[in-house]
Amino acid sequence: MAGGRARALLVLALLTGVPGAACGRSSAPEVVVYTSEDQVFSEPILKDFEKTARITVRAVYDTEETKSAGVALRIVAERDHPQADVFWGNEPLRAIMLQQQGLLASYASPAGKDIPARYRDPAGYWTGFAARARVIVYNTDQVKPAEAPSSVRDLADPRWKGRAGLANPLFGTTTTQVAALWSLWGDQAAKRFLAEVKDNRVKIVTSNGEARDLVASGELAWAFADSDDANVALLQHKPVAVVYPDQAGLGTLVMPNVVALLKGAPHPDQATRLVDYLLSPQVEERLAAGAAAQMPLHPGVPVPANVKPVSAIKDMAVRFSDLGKTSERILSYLNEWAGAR
Amino acid sequence: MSAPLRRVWRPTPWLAAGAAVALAAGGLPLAWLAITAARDAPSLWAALVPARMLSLLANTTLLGIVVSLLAGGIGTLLGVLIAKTDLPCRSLFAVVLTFPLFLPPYIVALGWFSVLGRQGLLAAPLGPGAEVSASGFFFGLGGAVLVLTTAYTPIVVHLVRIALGSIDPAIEEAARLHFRWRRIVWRIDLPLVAPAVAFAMLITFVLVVGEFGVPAFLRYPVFSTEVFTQFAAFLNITAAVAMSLPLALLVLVGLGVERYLLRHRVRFLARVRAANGLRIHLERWRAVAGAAAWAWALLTVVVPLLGLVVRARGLANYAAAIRGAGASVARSVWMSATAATLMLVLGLLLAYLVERRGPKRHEALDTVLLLLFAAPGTVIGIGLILIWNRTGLTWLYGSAAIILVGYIGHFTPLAARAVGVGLRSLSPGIEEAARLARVPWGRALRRVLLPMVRPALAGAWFLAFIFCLRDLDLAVTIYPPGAETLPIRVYTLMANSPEPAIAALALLMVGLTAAVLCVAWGGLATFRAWNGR
Repeated sequence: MAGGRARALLVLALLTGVPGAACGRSSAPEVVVYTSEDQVFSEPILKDFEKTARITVRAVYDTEETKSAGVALRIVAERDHPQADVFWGNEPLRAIMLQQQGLLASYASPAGKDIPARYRDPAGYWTGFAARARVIVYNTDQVKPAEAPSSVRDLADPRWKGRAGLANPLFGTTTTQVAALWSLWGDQAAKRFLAEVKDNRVKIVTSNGEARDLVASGELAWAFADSDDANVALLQHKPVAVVYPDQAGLGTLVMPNVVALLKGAPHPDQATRLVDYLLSPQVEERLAAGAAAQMPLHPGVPVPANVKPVSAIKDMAVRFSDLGKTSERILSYLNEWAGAR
Repeated sequence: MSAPLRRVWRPTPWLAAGAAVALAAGGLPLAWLAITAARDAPSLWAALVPARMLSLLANTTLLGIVVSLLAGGIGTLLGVLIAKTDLPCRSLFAVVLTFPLFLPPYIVALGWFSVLGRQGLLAAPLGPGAEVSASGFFFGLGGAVLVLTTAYTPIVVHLVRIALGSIDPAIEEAARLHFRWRRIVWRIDLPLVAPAVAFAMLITFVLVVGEFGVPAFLRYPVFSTEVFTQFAAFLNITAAVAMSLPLALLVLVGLGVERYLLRHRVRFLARVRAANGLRIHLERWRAVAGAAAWAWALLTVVVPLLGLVVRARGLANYAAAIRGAGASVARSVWMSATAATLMLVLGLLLAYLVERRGPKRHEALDTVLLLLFAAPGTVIGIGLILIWNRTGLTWLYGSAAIILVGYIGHFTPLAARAVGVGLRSLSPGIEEAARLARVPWGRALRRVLLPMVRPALAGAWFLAFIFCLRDLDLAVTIYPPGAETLPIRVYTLMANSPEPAIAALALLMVGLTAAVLCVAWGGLATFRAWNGR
């Protein structure tokens, strides 16, 4: 009798548990967003949208190691039956690659009309907002300000042999940075430079966050990272300082977040509302004010203390739309380059 | 066999259904991927011969073998100490040793980083030279071996414990009349638990060669990092499948080695409760063995966890972790518990099929199951997306049910093997007697076999639950929007979150898992007492 009761309870638990798993969705309006913006920054903004718009947001976040690539992969894998409505990337390259694969829908949000044209796709497939810069982070215990690296070419300078770092160029903003250099220098010069970087024993680490941490802990003298990564270390009073590289030369790469509507989005109305919200000055203000310290692209939004305004930075003269094709062309080379280290 | 006897003893439909469900959950996605990749045969072949294939093969094999040998040796010794001796506080010791298994290995790596990193607990006080040496050791093969040995030794410890608990005490009692305990352990117990040790080492090898997070964090290139790169950076399914093939071959080699080593082993023929089995009194060695064992636990478990505790700082961080991760915690626990229960049922049927239905079928099915377990979670995840993301199936693909399907496909082989260890220790004569007495197969299973393999069943559920709870690679590939599990939340929040918040989240996972397991064990004890009344 007792055994029968226990078995009945077990069956009941399974019967209630499994349909519970299968029926996780409610009938309330909802929007599905795949984002590679750091969860610690993006989640509060999406929660605010839920409250103000009364639309449930169901999000998939990317990991630090795969920045952009992970959720982009999922969008590609789901292409025959899209689950996501909105892609919020932390840099433009993956959105452009998705656009090239025909996975994005055009939507020129009215909220993005103040964004400079350089940071928008002319056909409206993606729109940029809240930018970051590729900066040099150096350890102030090991490097004096006067001797600090100031150019991407310092990666190949023997002075820094074995002491500099770079995140894996197959992922995230490092791909964008290398693609930009490739685009500016051409194949031969870029390959020569990367060979010199390899000879200089630059450490390839899994992510920009790890690169920053290794600099902060003194394992590396300096590394490339994104301005938000650098700001986190500054806020934590780590012994680091920041340099905007190549201000006298080819310029610093400034990369906006991008938001894009996906083709075949299951909830198109809610998706456009979320896109409009993300492109609003309030969201830029929020991303600028927090630890993310991202640089606003809307005019009039206050610029955070630890970063320069976009207008004060000499930006690298590359077209984002070109970088998509360049990166597709160079990824195999980068894979061999990174793997052969 | 007379007709009535055949009518009452009909396991085939149940066994076939169990095998079909488990193989469909895991095998179908892999088969689908293989077909997708095979359509582009030239690319598949090109992807198989990259310049650094040999170095990846060498790195992966070396890591797998070193960790398996270390975990096998250390885990067997610790398992014997816990199960057979009067080691001081051995129950607590077993619990402490098991802690790293509760955690995704990348959390263990983070813990060790807080100890061996340049500003770590151990390295920093010893000066700049020690900092560089410790960090140099940690980032590479040394660190990967250290972290993965810490993480996977508990598997060996627990399977050895289960196997030792299944030995017929009469054998030890008879031996005790003539031999001292050292000889009994060496000549009787260890040969009898050799299948469990070999299985545990094989599981360790499979887990290590498929591990992604730790080699990626420690910058040690292996096949799994290459598979991930092909998927995530190139969106290239064909190349990723191609890079999974050497992993499958490595697993087959491991399986072959296991079978070769065990080819002459005598299986123990009967099993009764081991409550009165050999208990070794260490006497003057008790203090030494206790000190050595607890030093190991302190070094490999307490120190990295202490590193996390130091990083987590004040109570406010724990409170914030609980507030933010409450839903993820609940989701992780119920999904893991449900999946583990389903896997237990399927694992029992599969284990019966493997252990009781002929040696040829045994080896073929066992091999397939192991390959499912060995397949990288990312690969299974992509296969699941390709199969289940279809019109009319959104109710499954878009819900937590897809994670349950993935868990069942990936981890049921583990439950089946763990139950199999118990079933193997029972004489087939027991079922034969039930069959001749015209007891229906289902009833014989419930009333005769299940009570006799209860430790193995508990161990199988425990392993399945833990592996689901700590899974990251599979779940992060397929988790439904807005339904992240706790390991996913920790991993995705690691980017730019304050260190104390991440450390608190990791410790929250450890604490909650421990609490759930305590509740489970408490419930089991109550159930036993209730049944025994």
